[in-house]
Amino acid sequence: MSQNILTDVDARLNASLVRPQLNDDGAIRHFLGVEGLNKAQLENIITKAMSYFDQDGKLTNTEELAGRTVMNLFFEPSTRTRMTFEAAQKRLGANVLNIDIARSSTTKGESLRDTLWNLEAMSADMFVVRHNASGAAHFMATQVTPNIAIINAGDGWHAHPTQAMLDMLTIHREATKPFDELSVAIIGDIKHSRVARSDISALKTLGVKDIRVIAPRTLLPKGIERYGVSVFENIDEGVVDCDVLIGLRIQNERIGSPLLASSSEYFKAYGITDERVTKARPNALVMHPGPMNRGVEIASTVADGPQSVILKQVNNGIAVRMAVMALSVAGQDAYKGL
Amino acid sequence: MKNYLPSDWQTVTFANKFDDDHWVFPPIVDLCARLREPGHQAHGTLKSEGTAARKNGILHIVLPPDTDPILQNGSLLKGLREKAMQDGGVYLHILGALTDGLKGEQPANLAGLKQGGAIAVTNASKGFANDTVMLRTLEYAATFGLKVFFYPDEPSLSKGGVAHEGYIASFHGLQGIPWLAETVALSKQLLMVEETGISAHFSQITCRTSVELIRWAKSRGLPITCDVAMHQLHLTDDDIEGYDASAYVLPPLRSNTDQKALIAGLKDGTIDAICSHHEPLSSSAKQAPFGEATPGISNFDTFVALGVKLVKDGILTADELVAKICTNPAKIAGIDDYQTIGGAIVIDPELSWQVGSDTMYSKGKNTPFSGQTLTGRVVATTFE
Repeated sequence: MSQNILTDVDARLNASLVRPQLNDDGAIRHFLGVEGLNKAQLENIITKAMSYFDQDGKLTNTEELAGRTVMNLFFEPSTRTRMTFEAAQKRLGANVLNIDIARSSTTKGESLRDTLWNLEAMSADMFVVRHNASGAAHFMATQVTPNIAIINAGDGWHAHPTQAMLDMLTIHREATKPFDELSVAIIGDIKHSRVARSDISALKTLGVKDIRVIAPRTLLPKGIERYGVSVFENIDEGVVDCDVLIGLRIQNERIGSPLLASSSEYFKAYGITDERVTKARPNALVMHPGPMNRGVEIASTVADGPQSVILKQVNNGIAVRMAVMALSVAGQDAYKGL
Repeated sequence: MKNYLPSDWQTVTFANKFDDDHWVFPPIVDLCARLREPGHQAHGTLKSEGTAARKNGILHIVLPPDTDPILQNGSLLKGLREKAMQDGGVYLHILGALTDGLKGEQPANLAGLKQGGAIAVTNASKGFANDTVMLRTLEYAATFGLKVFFYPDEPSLSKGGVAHEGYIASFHGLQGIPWLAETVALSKQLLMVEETGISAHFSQITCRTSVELIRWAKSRGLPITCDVAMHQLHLTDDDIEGYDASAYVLPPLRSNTDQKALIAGLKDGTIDAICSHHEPLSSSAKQAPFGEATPGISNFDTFVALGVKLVKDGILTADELVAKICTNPAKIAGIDDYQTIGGAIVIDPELSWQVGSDTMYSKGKNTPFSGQTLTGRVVATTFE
């Protein structure tokens, strides 16, 4: 029955929602979300990711997943995330299987649980999962046998934790201030964005005190103020003196629906333009999880401009995914007593 | 035994001796339960769910028409009632379909349904093609003196939603169902009730504003009643925490504020009755991510214990609980011979038991109370 004690985001971050992803020693076993992980755990992921860069800043290879079989289960289309996961898996020496879900048994009516159990029987050690249902990764973590790690590569509107961590790594590498001195603005479709939820959680945990979300009311989730963020419906006010601007994708298919009037009006009202970037701090970082709609949520001159770190995010994504998978396997081994 | 039978109740005797802590109640009348037959026997049958109801003191069940096939043929109703009694030992009180195929486009064969013994008609949770269809259909039902049951929901506002629209749904990335989906529909329905003069019952209201609207409508003298599902009095959207699909139900579990308003409405008489909204499901139905699971909670087995908790928490007296789950719903369902066919049940309000598949009679084990220890259970009936 309801206890109604979890009334704020900080309490909820530590709630039972995310406990399944940790082993008894508090190490990551599954990576389902950023929520519930403490500052030290997030910093550990960043540190681990940094270790994969050599002195010249190039990614290195290891054998940390040698002999392990990783299956990429993308129930939703993805290019960038899937490719960077695969690149990361190969740099870790894993055996990689990409399951063509579009042709799998799920399209013939097989339940997700049965699909998982069948793939398990093929000696998988890890599932990297993207699914259109929020909570799918959590559900899978409850269904698989204990020796399989689940890595959430995006579930519904809920979470995209590796994207959040690559954003944190990018900020860590590129910003001139520590996290607790930063002002960060997240601009765009907050309501339907798994990236926004995970970014907010990660930023809060790492100590960012000034987190702003900027969007028209139709793109703001109910109760957003309880996330511990400042809400702006006017971008020109919201970006003032910010150190980081994170743009979010507006899906073209949504433009024209009751959520927005048109893509051109959206760009006029909420687009990240050169003029708006100048209202932020000098040398503020401009980020975007991609794919970008140029001229809708961001101007091309900004996306390709000197303050953009968008391509660096992609490169950092490989390192972060290497770190998360290596840490999860280590956590699984510890859980199994290996 | 503490006797909570109404003063005009027939004399009942029990073979067993019970101490003064036991409560004697009339049999329970449930204003909304799905038994899954016909059409969905994988989840439950008249035999399994009827037996579970009877074991838990529920002798009378009001069945919505959204079965497969839809209950819109009066000649089928008698057979279904007889099968419910024969297989499960319960009295079935059937709601006929208000519109053909529940499509909301034209009235169903209401005269035939009345002749077949439908106690009322409803469009279940389906919408109407437009307001004119709704108005004319209600007028048509009024022609035959049929009561209408409403399950207020505006589909254009609730479509795609799986949880109460609020912080919890946002945090979990789940599409929300705003309380407006219920209150917009309810407002319209109340105005149409006033216009047509039809008797109406509103089932499973969930929101603070719904309580206020019902209170306002009753103050205007509208011939209406309403009920709330038992689980809405004990659970909130906090209980879906961690994507607990066992708490996925439609209409959704609402906020703490809504729950307080429902309890206030129950106490002051705005809400007349408590139903089970029993929806048994096979185990595989919940084995999916939250929003892709099948909504529904199996409630027969926990109904009495949760009712006892309302008394122990000081929300209702035992006499008021009798009114909410026995006598008021009997009046609403038009069960005139309730006393004659009623009997009585004995509840042990101190009996602790753990909710689990081995302690549940229902075929559906889908309950968010699984593993919890509840107090209170039916220990004897006179109708067995």
